[in-house]
Amino acid sequence: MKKILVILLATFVVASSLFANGKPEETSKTEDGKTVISIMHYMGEETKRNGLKTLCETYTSIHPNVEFEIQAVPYSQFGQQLQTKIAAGDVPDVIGGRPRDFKQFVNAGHIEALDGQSFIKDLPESFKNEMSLDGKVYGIPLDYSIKGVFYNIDMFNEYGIEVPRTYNDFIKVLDTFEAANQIPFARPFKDTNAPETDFKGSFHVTLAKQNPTMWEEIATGEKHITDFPIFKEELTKYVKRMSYSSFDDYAYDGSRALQIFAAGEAPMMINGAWITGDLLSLNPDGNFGCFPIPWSNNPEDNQYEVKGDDAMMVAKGSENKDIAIDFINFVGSVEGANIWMDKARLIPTNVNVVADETMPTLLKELSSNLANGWGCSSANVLELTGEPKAIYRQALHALVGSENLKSDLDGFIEQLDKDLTSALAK
Amino acid sequence: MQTKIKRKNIWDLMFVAPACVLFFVFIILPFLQGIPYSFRDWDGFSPQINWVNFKNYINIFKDRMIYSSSWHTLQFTFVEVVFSNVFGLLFALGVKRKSKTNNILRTLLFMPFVISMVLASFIWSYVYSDVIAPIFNTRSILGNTTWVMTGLGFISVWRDAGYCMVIYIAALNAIPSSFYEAASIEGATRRRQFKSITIPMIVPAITANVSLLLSWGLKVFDYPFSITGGGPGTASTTINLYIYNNIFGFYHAGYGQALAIIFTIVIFLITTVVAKTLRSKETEL
Amino acid sequence: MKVDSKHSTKIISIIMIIVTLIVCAPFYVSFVYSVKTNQDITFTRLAWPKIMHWANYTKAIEMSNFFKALYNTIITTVPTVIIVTLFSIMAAYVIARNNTKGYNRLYLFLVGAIVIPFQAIMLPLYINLKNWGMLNTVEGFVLVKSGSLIAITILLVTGFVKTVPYELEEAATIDGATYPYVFFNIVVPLLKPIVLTSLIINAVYTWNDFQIALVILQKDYARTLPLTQFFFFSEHSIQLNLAFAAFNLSMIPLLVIYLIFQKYIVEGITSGAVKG
Repeated sequence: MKKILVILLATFVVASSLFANGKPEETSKTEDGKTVISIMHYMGEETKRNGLKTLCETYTSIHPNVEFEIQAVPYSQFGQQLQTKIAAGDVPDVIGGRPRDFKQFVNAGHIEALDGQSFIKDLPESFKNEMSLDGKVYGIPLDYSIKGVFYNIDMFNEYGIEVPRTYNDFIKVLDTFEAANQIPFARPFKDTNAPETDFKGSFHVTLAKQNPTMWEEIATGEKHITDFPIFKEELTKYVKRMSYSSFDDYAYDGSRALQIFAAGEAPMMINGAWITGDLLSLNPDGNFGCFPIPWSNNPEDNQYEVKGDDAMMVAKGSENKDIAIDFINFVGSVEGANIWMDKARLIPTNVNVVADETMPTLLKELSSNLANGWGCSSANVLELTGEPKAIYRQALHALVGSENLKSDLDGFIEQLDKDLTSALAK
Repeated sequence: MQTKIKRKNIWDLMFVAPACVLFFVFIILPFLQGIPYSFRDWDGFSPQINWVNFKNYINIFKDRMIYSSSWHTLQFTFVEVVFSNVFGLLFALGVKRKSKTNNILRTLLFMPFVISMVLASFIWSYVYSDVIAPIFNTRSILGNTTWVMTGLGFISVWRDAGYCMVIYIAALNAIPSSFYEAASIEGATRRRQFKSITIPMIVPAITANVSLLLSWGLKVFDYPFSITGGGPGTASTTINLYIYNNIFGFYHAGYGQALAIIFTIVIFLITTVVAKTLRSKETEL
Repeated sequence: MKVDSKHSTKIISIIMIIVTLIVCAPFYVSFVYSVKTNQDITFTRLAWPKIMHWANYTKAIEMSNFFKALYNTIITTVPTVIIVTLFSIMAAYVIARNNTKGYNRLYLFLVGAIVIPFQAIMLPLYINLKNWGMLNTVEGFVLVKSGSLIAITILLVTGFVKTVPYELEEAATIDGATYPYVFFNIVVPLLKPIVLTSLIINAVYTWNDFQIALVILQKDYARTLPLTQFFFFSEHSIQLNLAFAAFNLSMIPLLVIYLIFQKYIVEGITSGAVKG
């Protein structure tokens, strides 16, 4: 028996070390005179990862003494891992993420201000604003996050439905599907943050126009949600669109819901432009479009929620700060933006880059809709962070599956206020 | 003679030392280092830290989440401890005889224990949604706020029942067959025999299983962490997951650490009381 | 009477076979999903696949960097298991053979400290390891994992040592054998079943470790199999077939070891746990 064990283990070790590609890299920053820049990000899509890889390889080809060490972490783990690294003084040189989502780390002085860097002049004004805190720019977004209702054009035609531009029309569309026994939405509500993402798609457009400081005032404890009647108004509409028949939403994660939508089992899915690549690879012959979530009866109000996405920041404590910043400038340059558009298949933020012909029709259409003023930047809406954000997300997650909560929205908001207050007092 | 004893004592110390050093440096030391944090309002990464005395400990009692996550943890533990043992014992009774078939069955029944909890969770999330839900024409149990902890509990039962079975098999086979023979001659029914011979004879095995599963159950983390993320809403947030969230993500490392310390004491008390109660049963019989 | 009991044995056997099939059903799901295309999964779900897409496995191996993760898992598991087993039997021997106040207290202390949840120590531990240069290293993981398994293993082994007769050691000591000689040449051979159990059970625990690896082995190149599974699933759940292929791949080595050594697991767990 012992012999077998020894032989077995030896075979495993030898076999796996033979097949294991990639040497066990050194953790040290420099080896044989080369500088290693570490990047930590949470991009999930294969296309985006390839884009980042190509950006790094291109940079290395220009600066042969710089190499990269890329670490991908799932979104759900990202904040935790970043925090441990900061606590232990082990911060990566380049950090993926929007400065405002990691306000704590920016305020504590762990992120480098990037004012005056060359990429900024090519960035649209709204993104400059979105990437800054207290008047300083801390990050660069690589592309647009555009949120709206993705829909199956063929199914809309089949049911004789036109794209709704007002709230009332939207409800009519939902009623039509309901009457035809067709579940209207594919929803990825297995993920705790998905119902909030869904709600935000319309609510943050509302906030951006009417009450951009709502969450800040709540975070400082000055006000409560009950002080903002708009919240209940919008939540009521949200609950209404949740009330239509659905799949086993809590059991389906993002990919499963996307498969359902791609396969034509549901005509609509509220999501962001980042799904385009996966959607088209699941159903290359599909005919899809995207319209802004109609929350108002005034068509002008109904716009896509637009934000910067795939942002990058530089760590203040980085030993190779100058190179990291130079890399960021490269990423934001016309050359970098072209690489990103080409590989990641997303609309780049650099104003001097024009969408090329090979872009999927869906993205081209989105891009031209944006140019026609269909987008609304929610950059001025500062969201909750830390525990309050988790409480808010969890509350919405619980709400979408509970008839009791849905039927008593006042009670729901009151409890949410209580929980937020006690979290803020911790 | 004196020197011989002394030499033996030194050897004794040298033999326990490596284990103790390892245990101290990597478990006890960080635990002690964590205590000061529990009296501070540390966010988990900043250099600036204020002393807040017992504020964190006082807040624990005011926190609504503590009560709900304790309840979830207890629900899970109940399912894990009771059903793993019941199934483990039933399996053991079913395959305790020595035969080729039973050998294969034992091996297969223990197999889930070899799978990691993360993997078990992933596989079961699909078993629930694609196999069990369609059979009963319902939705996945993991999406039900009332039953999600039971659902997670049964994943652990699936993994751990085999472990309990193995221990029960040994305990059952250790009972001298003469006991049963004597009982049969006196005319005792099977049921009677099970109650007055089998159960008393396997109490030590029950103690061992219950204590072990109790500590696993109370410390549950991997299952909700890897598939439900504590949801729907907060319906599957357990104490350990809540501690983890406070330390990482909520920026309340001081509070999380205080909670972890209280939790350690509570688990200690629960497991000690349960183990003591069961042990006293052993001696009674 | 005899016929009846034979009959009932048969019925029990049949019931147990059915039960075992139910228990093993999740493995079926895992296998079927791993050899289908994604479209097949969407449309035919659990049906036996018409065409086996073994290519999923080669793809999963490539995409999850499987051999690297396997290598990392083995080079962390082997030393951990050896350290834990060796140190535990040494300590357990001393504790079991000395019924003194000091060692009894040590034993109770170890038993008590088992309850410390990893959450209570992870942050200070992470900072210590960073300061000692042990993050993302094999040594760091091995030492922490050994520390976390040692108390429970001592518990397991102590119970067993108490059942081993004392006379042989005494005789050898009187004959002038040294302490280490007595231990390694006389005691250890008697502990063979529990040593094997400790090796296998701790191998299962270490191989499957998730929490400690999650905190200590963060860099891609240091990740072990469970971490790779977790990250691979979070990132590629869109490709369910590949995710399941990756799951199965990481199960196979451990299942093979288990199937070879399963009889020792049964022997050892029981002797330690019940008598302790």
